[in-house]
Amino acid sequence: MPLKTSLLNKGIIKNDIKRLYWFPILYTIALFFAVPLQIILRLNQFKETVPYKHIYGILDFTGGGVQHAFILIVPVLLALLLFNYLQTKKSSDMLHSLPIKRNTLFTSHTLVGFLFLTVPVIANGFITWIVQIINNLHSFYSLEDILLWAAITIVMNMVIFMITVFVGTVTGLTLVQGVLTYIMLFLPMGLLFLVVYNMQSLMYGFSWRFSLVYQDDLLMILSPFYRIIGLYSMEAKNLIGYLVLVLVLFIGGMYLYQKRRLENNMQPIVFKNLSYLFKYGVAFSFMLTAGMYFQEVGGGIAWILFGYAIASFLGYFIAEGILQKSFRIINRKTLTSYSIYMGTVILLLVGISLDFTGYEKRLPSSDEIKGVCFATNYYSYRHQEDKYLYKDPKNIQLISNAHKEIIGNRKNMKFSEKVYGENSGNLYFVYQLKNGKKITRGYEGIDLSPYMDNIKEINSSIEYKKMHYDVLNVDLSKIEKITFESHHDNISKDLVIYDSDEIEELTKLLQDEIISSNYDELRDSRVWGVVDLLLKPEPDENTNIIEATKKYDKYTKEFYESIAVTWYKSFDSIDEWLMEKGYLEEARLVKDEVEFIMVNVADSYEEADKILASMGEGRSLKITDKEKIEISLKNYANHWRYEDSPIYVVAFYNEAGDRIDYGSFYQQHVPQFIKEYFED
Amino acid sequence: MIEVKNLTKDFDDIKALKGVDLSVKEGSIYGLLGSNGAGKTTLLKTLAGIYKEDSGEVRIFGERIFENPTLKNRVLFIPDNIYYFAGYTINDMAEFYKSIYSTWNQERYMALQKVFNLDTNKKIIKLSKGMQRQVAIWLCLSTMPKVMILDEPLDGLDSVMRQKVKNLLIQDVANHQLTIIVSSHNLRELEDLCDHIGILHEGSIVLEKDMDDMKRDIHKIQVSFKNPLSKEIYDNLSLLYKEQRGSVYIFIARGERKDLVNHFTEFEPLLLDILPLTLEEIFTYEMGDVGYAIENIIIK
Repeated sequence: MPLKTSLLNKGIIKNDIKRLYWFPILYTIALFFAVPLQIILRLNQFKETVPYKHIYGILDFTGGGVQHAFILIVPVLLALLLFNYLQTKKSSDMLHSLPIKRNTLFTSHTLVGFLFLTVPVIANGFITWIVQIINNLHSFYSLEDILLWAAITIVMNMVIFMITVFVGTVTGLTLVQGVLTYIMLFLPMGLLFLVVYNMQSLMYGFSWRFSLVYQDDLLMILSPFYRIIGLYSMEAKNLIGYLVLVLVLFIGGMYLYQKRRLENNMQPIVFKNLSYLFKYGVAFSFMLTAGMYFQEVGGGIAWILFGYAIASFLGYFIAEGILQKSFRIINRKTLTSYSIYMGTVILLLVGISLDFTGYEKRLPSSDEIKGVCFATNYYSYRHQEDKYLYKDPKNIQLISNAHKEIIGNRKNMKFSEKVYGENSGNLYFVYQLKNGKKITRGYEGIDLSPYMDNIKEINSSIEYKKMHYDVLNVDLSKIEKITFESHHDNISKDLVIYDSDEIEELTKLLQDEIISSNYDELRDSRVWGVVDLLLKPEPDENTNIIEATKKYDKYTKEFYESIAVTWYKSFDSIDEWLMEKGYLEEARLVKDEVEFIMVNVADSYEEADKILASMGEGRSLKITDKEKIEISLKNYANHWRYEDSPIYVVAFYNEAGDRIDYGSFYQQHVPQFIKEYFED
Repeated sequence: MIEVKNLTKDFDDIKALKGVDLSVKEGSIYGLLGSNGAGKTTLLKTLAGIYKEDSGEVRIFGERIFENPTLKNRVLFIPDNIYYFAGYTINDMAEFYKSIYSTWNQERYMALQKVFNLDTNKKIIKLSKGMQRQVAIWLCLSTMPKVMILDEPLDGLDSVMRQKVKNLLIQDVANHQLTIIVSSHNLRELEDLCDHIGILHEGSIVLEKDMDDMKRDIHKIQVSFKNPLSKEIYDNLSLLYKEQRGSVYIFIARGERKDLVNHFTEFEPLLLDILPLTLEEIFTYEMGDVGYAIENIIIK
């Protein structure tokens, strides 16, 4: 049996079990408290309603994080215990003088580790299964649930264990092994964050969002720590991926163990080359952290560079101190070594600032572009990339032109300077090229005013409207009813249209209104309310699941998929249609309901509140003329803003003299007769 | 049978071994003498296959020892600082060794208990340092080794135990053709145990000697003459050292006693006294010859 003699040693395995038998016993008990016992304790509750809820958090890792903590701690402890002999000279000498190959030692200890981590899980899975059978809990959890739970726990245990073991083959102190393990679990993700944030401040057009937002899958791959923290379930492909990682770490660890110089035990890092990696790695991480910090607190380039210099120096010499286990580390050798690092960083920074790669200026030519996503809001783009893809050559040209201008304006900007205020905004460009590649750029906190004409033109295009107004794409036959809702201070209106012909007419009117409205009209403050197109339920839909996005109809007490359209006061054809059908009064406030209105001016937002409480006092204007009331109704917004000064506060009253609604006129919407009155 | 050729070993910036050549015959006891930091432990650990050679080679029975379980099964190493698993009794340790060494001899283990007279159910950690060392030797001998590599094995033992251990080792060498390499910083410890002695200084073997040859060969001669000393006296004399105290000359010279007596009698001495050198003295003079001061190497 050559395999057996070469890779496993019975004596070593037996001895590990003899020394550490208590470990799996404790782990079994701990797991018992966290899983089967939890189910047993809740047995009484199972008789009540809502089947799934009572095992919530037991087999799906959502309950309080106890199981996450087990996965993050138990395997590390076990690996530290099993491979502790590598980290002290005495035990290392003894075990390596035995007639056993290093590979055999490594494999044997690893096998014991897997055994100790796996048997308790299987045992508890088995107990859980028995509990299920005895108490007839089949409708609460299935054997598959148990198996998946066991598989995830076992695989993640193995991953953490193997990472700790792998780290152990390069460290020479147990403490360093433990600390470095947790750093490793987190490191790739942390570095990505640091690099991305720093690139954002160094490179014009680089946005962290493209690398980090909605990138959970990537982050989970990069950091097992992150994966475990947010663990609830896992797909088979992920489990297999992790098993491959375990294998890679196993082979890698075995290789490094073979290469390990035992005489370097008691050194924090036993491989000289790796200790360079460690030093430079720590210096780099410190440097980027400082860079991020100074960017966040709003320091300019000088502060960031200062942070780089100080932090990398600190990081480098802290690492050096750890490696040499000494405070006397500043000498010619270490200073030279640090200078090499600094030199490289300076070269890199100079390269970036001179834009050697042409990153900042790169703009694909229009014949390369298949389509482009263009948004002022990153999240709207990210949810449905294909939906927001502009393909119309005219729009592509407009977007391209805007982008060219942004690049051209680079020279007018100070380093990573952000603007604030009304014109400040973000622009994101994602070019999908014909060759399948993608170019992404994001400009955050820039002054949008130079590009506003382009943006407005794009947003006025049919292509834009089709992307953003679902009512333009709706299948008429799918609409079951249309509701109008208009909320006022003391009066609420709602109207429901059921007739299919009326639905068709109305939908077409809405579509026409949206298509004919321009950019500003579709962002107007003067809004009646909202029109909802409620869609017929899809027959195959699971009606048990209530999604937050669905619209609740209070008449039928049902949830509907709906398309909401903001009901702008500028939609005259809708008003006419409602009037014609005699529905107007049901849908919104009309002039006949208003007996008089009061208007007064306030100098500030805060004062507007006070003025509203005492509307009749001071030099307020009372209007009873129906035509003027109609004009006022059509021009007021149901709120006021900070930007306006003075604020024209308006309140509407019924016959009984009770206030029905209030609001304000935006500066540009104040009716002439009101303006004249107050200007006198 | 143990052959070391041009072995080097570096620790980061320090050259621990700089081209060590060593040869030990089967069935002999080789004493490795050197001060602290001379590289003894490094050499022994490389011989035991714990450290890998940086360059040069270590061969035992013609085979390389590093990562060679078959060979390591018969080559036992006892470090100066012995490791036992926490909480283990002597019997626990014996069981472990039994599971690791295919040549473990249970009868021998039982028989040796009478010699060491220790309670096998006692936790080893609780034993004194000297006792722990005895346990190591006991376990080691029970595996029926062919080669034993011992780093400062007698350090910390009282004189009774020292003698007991020495006897055991010598007995094993005689009965089982065991070969032993034993290190010490103290020459006296090795004097009556070893048949060969090598001195390791700053990573190199500076002297290697057969003990029997040495004792037989070097003498201290105290002599005075009526007449002034004739230069001819140095002819045919392998002189290591000379000193003049008044009219008395002290010579250290190589050669058999009989020959030396004949040589000096020719010059009609008033006084002639020829004595064998103690080992310590031999090394002092030999090392003086090589250019090192003995005090640095052998701490008394």
